[in-house]
Parts: sequence; structure tokens; C-alpha cells
Amino acid sequence: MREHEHPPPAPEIERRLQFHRPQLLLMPLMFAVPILALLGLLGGPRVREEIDLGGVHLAVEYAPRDHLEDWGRVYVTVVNRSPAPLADARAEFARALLDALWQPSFQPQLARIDGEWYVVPLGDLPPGATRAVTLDYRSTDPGRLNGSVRVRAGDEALAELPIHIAVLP
Amino acid sequence: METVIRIVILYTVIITGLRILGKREFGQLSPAELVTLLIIPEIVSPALVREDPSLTNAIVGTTTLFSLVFVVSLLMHHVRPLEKVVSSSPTLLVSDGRFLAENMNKERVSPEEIYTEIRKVGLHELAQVRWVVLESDGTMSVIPKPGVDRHMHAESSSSVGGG
Repeated sequence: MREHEHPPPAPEIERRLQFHRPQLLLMPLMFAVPILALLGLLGGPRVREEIDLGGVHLAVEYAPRDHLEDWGRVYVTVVNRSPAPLADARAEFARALLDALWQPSFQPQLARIDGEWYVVPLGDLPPGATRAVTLDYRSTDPGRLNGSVRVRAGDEALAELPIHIAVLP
Repeated sequence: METVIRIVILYTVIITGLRILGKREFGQLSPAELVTLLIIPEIVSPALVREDPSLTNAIVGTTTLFSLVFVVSLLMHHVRPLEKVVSSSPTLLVSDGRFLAENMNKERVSPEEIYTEIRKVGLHELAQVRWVVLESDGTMSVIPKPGVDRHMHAESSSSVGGG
């Protein structure tokens, strides 16, 4: 094909990094949000807290940062590491944590609300046995929720783990 | 984190798709502007209509997109090959009063479309045109030949109008 005459190209300038003042002020903010999100500070990643106490291994897995009205899940695992069976074991969830949530539902089912605790029965735990409790919830208000999950057998509190959930707007 | 990754992927896919479609589809917007306008409503509408009541997702989505657009424009400004890849370069459709059929076919521009643009600048025949350029944003620039002055434009307009 014959080469055609083209309109003259634009002359080049010295290209440098230069910004408007508002850009300099607001750009760090704009970049900070996705970076914080990539670091998991704006919701997403789940954490797993564990404790071995009183012959019981208690693990709680949850998302420490939830989004408003998103469904969340707390997964609790209890292992009897003592040589003796645990009679009438229960997983108990602090009311301070759950009263601020909408429709908390437990698997296995919630037995009762006992003072400051939601009580989920685990039954008798033979040595080495594991029980799991799943709590599904939906957050209704932004803010910080503080509470704990504990394991009891009979009248004795065996292990307790604090939970902190920040509900982002 | 998932929102950021999704936005980056979608932005790349849409930019690539628009680049493949060609300049005609842009309608006076650069690919980056168009993709931004396409994606932003999708990001913010769930938060607006409370389909997803969390503002965090919408804010993460929009700031990710704006950051991406800003970084890409910054890179385009400093890396010339990238500027050509993302923005494409202008295409000559008419040179010295003659259609460049190969370029017109590549860009899917019909002769009538070129004549429409020519008439808009007050000309009525191809012989009066030095260049018609399909710009990166999808618009056409018509450059008359030297000597085709304002007076001639007016005459051309009236003769076209008078049939």
C-alpha cells in the first residue's frame, strides 16, 4: 500500500510527574482504601483463635471485620483433651456479643439464654471427642462488638476466648 | 480484598474488550473514561438501593477503580508504548481528497459517515478535504485543503442545502 501523507504529529514535551494540589492531598487517601482492603483490614479474612485450658481445646474461627447486614459465621470447635469425659458440656456465647446481632442461629440448636450467656448444649464429651458449634448471624448496626465464647462442663468454666467483631458501615 | 481483585480483573477485561472493538464504539470517550463510567454505577448501585447495605464495599470498589484509572493514566503519560496499547492511535481515513479504503474497512467507517462529518464542517465534496482522521476517542477530524476558506465553506453549505 502506498504511504499517504499524514497530519503532523503533536510535538513532544518533557513528561514529568506533576500534580494538582488537591490530587497531592487526596491521592494518598484514594490509594489507602484499596491497600487497606488488600491487607484485609476492611473485611474479608477470618481469624482463628485457640486456647488449651482445663483439659479442653477451644477454637473460635470468625471474621473480625464484618460488613453491615452481611451474613457472618462464627465456628467454634471444642475438643476434650483430658483423660476423663466431660459431662454436660456446653458452649456459651456472651449476650453482649449476640444481642447486637440479628437472627443469631445456632447449630446445634440453642438450649436457653442463661443470664449473660446463650447456651448451646454439647452433651457428654468422651476423651478425645470433638464437638462443633456454628453460629450464623447478620449484623444490623455498625460498631464494635465485644464478647466471648466459653466452654463449661457442669458448673465449671473450662476455657474462654474473647471475640471482637468490628461491623463496618 | 475480593472486591479489589474483582475490580482489577473487570477493568482489565473491559479495557481489553473495548480496545479490540475499536475506536468507533467509544463515542467521544477514551477507553479509560468509558470503562470507568461503565463500572461505577455497577459498584455503587447495590449500596444505593440497599441491595448490599454495606458502604464499605462501594467505597473500596470506587476507590480501587479510581486508583486504577489514575495509575494507568500516569503510566500512559510516561510509557509511550502503553499509551498506544490502551488508547490506540489516530487512523487516517481520507488523504488528499481520496478515501483510504483499507483503513475505512478496518475501522468499519462508511463513506456516508465521512461525508456526514465533511458536511458538518461546511464542505460538500471529498476533493476539498486534505485529511479525515478517526481520533482515538472515536470522533472524526476533518482538515480542509489549503485554499478551501471560510467563504468556500459557506458556498458549499448552501449548495448542499439547496440540493
